[in-house]
Amino acid sequence: MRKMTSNNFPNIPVTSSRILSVVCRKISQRDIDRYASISGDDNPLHINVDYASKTKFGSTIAHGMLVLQLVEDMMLKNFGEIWLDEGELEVRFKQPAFPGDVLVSEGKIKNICARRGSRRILCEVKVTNTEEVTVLAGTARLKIRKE
Amino acid sequence: MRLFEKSLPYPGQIIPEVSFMLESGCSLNYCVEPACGTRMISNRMPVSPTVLAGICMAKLSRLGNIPAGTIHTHAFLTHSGNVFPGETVYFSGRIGTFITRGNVVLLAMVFKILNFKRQPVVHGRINLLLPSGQM
Repeated sequence: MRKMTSNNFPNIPVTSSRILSVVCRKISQRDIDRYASISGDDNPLHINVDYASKTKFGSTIAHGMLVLQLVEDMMLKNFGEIWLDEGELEVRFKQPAFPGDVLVSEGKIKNICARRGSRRILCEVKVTNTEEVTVLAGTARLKIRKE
Repeated sequence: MRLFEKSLPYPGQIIPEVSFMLESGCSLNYCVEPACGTRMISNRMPVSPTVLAGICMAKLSRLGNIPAGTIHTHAFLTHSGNVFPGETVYFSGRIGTFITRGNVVLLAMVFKILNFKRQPVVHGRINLLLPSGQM
């Protein structure tokens, strides 16, 4: 197991194979409506219960970006503001998330490498629902520059 | 309900630049606060890159550049800076891959979001699924 020991790097406890602190959140229709009003994405599949009940999903579904926000929250919780400046996220949406689902965002550091005066951290990330079905999965990359 | 009122985008189509001001309600605080009590360090909250990308996609749908009612299947986002509520951002993109399979259409859109100084904030690629059977 490697640790970031150099004092020139920001004081973030990073070790390879470290499990990241999880973020969990219950998605409610209110959250979805709130996100729709802020983003302007008022697709009836998200906000119109009657319309959505007649689709193949059988219910309204959360916006993909609302679910992805959990991963952002997790990365922010674990790495702080550096994530907002130097983060990279690649995910595949596997299943829809429905109102009432308790979503858990999990992650694990897979690799740390040093390159050109910076450290690059690769994390595996995923969001699962109450039935432990993976809603989205992918990787997050972070570059930490010397201070 | 007719979801697609405009014609489908085509490969290579340039999404013209759109500029708009971020409203105060979309600060990161909105998204971070409910999740396990996580808090940002500073009082002035930047807009979450994910929310920013979501807002831009919604703007495009409203302008008819991409159809409404699309489903995200894949997202690749790179952050390179912060923007704050009240700031103006510029969004532009291009339609890349375009595949029709059965009654669905899959398209990939590459995009970039710039801040008011025209510095990059977020860029990436989003794959969208268009249920063309509903057209």
